[in-house]
Amino acid sequence: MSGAEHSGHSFIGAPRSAAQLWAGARRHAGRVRSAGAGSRFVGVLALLTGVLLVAGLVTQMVLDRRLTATESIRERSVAALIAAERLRAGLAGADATAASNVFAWVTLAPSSLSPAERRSFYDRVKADDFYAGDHSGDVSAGIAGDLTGDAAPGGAGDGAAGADPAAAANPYSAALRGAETALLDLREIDPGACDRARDPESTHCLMTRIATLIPEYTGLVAAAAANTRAGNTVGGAYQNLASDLMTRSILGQTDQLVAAYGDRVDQDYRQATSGAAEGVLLGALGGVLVALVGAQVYVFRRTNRMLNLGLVTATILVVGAGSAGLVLLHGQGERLVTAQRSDYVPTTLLAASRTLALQARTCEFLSLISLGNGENADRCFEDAVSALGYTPDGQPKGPSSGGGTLTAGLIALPDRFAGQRAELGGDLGRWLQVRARAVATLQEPPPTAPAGDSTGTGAAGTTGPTAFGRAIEGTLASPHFERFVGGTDELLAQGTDSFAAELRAAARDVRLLTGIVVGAAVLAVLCAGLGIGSRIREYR
Amino acid sequence: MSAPRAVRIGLAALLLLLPGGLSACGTTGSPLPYTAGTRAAAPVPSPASVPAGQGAAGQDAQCVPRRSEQPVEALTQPGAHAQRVAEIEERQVLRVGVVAEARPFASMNWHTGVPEGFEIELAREIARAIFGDPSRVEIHAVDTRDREKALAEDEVDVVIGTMTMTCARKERVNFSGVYFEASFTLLVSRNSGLSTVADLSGRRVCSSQGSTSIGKILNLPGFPEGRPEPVPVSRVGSADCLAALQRGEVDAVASDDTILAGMEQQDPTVRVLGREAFAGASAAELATLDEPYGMAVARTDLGLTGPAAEARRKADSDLVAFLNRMLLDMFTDGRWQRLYADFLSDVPGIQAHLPTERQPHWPDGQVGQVG
Repeated sequence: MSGAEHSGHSFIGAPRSAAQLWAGARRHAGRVRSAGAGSRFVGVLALLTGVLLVAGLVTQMVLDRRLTATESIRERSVAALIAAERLRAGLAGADATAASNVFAWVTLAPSSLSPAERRSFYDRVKADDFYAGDHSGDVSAGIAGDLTGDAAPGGAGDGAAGADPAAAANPYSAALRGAETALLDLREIDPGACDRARDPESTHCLMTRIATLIPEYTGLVAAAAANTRAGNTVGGAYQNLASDLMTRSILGQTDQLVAAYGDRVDQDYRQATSGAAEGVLLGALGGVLVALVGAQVYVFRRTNRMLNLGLVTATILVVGAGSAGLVLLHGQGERLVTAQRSDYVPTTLLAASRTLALQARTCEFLSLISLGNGENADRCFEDAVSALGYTPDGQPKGPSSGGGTLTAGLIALPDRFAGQRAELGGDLGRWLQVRARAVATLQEPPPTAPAGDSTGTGAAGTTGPTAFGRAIEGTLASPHFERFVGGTDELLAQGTDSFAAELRAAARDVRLLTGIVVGAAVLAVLCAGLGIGSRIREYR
Repeated sequence: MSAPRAVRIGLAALLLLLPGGLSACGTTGSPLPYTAGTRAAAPVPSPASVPAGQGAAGQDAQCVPRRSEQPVEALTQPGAHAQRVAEIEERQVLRVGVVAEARPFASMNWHTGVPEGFEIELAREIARAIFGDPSRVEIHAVDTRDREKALAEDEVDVVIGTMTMTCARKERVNFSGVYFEASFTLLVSRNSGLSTVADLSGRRVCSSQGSTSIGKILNLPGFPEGRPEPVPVSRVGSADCLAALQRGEVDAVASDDTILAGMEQQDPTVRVLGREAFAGASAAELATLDEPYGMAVARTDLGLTGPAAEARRKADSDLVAFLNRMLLDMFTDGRWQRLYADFLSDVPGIQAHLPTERQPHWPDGQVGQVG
């Protein structure tokens, strides 16, 4: 008697009660039991096929998410992080070069040189240091227009396609172009407009602010250069303003960009190495095995044959695919962990070290510009060098001091880079020693004048280079800083390539696993179909 | 039925292994190494980081700003100097602090890498007087605000840095006699329409930190009463003030006429206001515009008492008297005039007056009529 009937409210179309459903199910089960064995085998095969297909589909979906996360590390988050680091290094490099350009004029006109020597000096300065050269026909004008990016849909980055930073005529232009190109690349990797009202600290707003400040910075540098060229003391004030803007505002925003993209790498890494994929794979494997073993037992009971070859093959296929999956997933995770340890960590540390070193270089020049009176510039230099993990006289700081970016980066470098590790540390140390000697030169008393030389005004300018001139000459002539930056660039390029290769290999592992799972599921369905199909035909 | 039981046991074992397998699959994050991310911005020289201030207020009622020690009879020869000069001679080098952005008094020539200017040459003259060798001088750049500190901390022997002799400063340093008579004035943009101090009402006026000009901005002679006063803005150096004027951050720069004239040389779009800018000021008020430059040396008697202090005062006085003799010799033998011709004669707005013309009994501090 149904519940509805019991309550006296039964009518046609009313939902049936649980008791009615249970009774219906029992009737259906009875019909199945009373059905022929062939029909039962069809039902088992249908159930098994369903389980296999569902398990394969769920596994494929989970693997697809993992593949997407793995590829996102390389194509999105790490690419953005690398571009942000390039931006940071380009800006810091531009500032260091701009500060050094104040001294370009010192070497242009030493009065003691012969005309031939003077021409040689001029050509060297022209080629290496100061002049921007003729870029009237290149794409630089387009770059500036695209930098802010918000109002140019589809246009961002167009100007960068043909821009080769290395083609710029001098280090200042090259560094600035490198930074601008990196900013355009970032716009492509991380497209979107700045919404100041809702998220003023978004990466898009940071990029917009940086793009807005760069022209202001270049304007100050241009004013500094023009005044210094004319011999005006206000040139130094403009250079200080420019470096102040760069350090406090532009590089500060760029640091935030680097940190934001670093967080994204972290998030993608967590998704790409999440244990959920292994969990789902093991769950699906367990479910399929239960279904296969259950089917095997059922077939055994009905046929009294020990093993059904088709089901055994399907089981072997599933176990094989599952084991391969676990191995591949574990390998993918290990690969990512190894890439993180041996490539990502040293690369990010070295990139930060390069920026710090360039900032220290700027402060070194600003200190010289202030004629040894740059207390703030000296402190800025010491802070940057300390953050690198070194003392101002070029010695690595002890472990008790907590180390620094470069010392940590060099330690994190894999052993295959042992030679470059030593070279980098050596170059940085020697650069710092040159700087320490320049400081000492500025403090040493002038040499005793030759006998009879008491000619009065201008004596110091005509009896050879002054202490200041020697300090500048020593600072500019030292190849160690450029070697350090060059060596860091080389290591960064290698580390970035190696990291990208590892990420590609990790993605390949997941892609291969997806193929194996789909193939194994299809084959297992076929084998199960063949194995149970023969019983169906036998009992029909 | 043994086979199904075995299957069940196998399945149970598999299910037992699953959690172990799951727990073996850990999630790996990839945070940026702590040293590679955001850093606190390293400080770099900031032109506007220190608030404006004024020197100490306590002053001796008997103090005469221009007064200094009477010169020694004649310059002593090397080996026969008094104590503090002998100490410099023993060190083999004279350390001189200059404000290296105050062209034409002292600035770096970035084309030659050599500092040059009127005060640089004065430093060489002192070295010549002590060692017989003008090259034995070590030039230290100092900010306007750090001149007294450089002396107190024995970083330099003498500061020759456009330093106005005031009674407040005399409590901390000793001054030579005046070596140049400058005057406070203002620099404005040529097309700004600002021509008197009254026009600066409520406007931003820049001065370098540690200079006497900051106090004068709020007490401009001839400034009409009841009008909003100019707003003082400070920057580290006078060149920073010029940059601020050129960038429109301030409307005027307040400093000494000599320094401002040097700025006018650098930038033809600015001009130095003359005395007519202070129209309406009394003679006494105009006298407050005087900026007599003196060479500053450390007072080594500070903090001492009794005979020790007396001995140090004597040594300090001897050094100042030595410097005054050298200056007086320069005034009389034409070297001062030659330096003036070399560095200041082509600077518009600077009137050449030997300090002895203003003080007939130089360096007694008593100002007379200039011819």
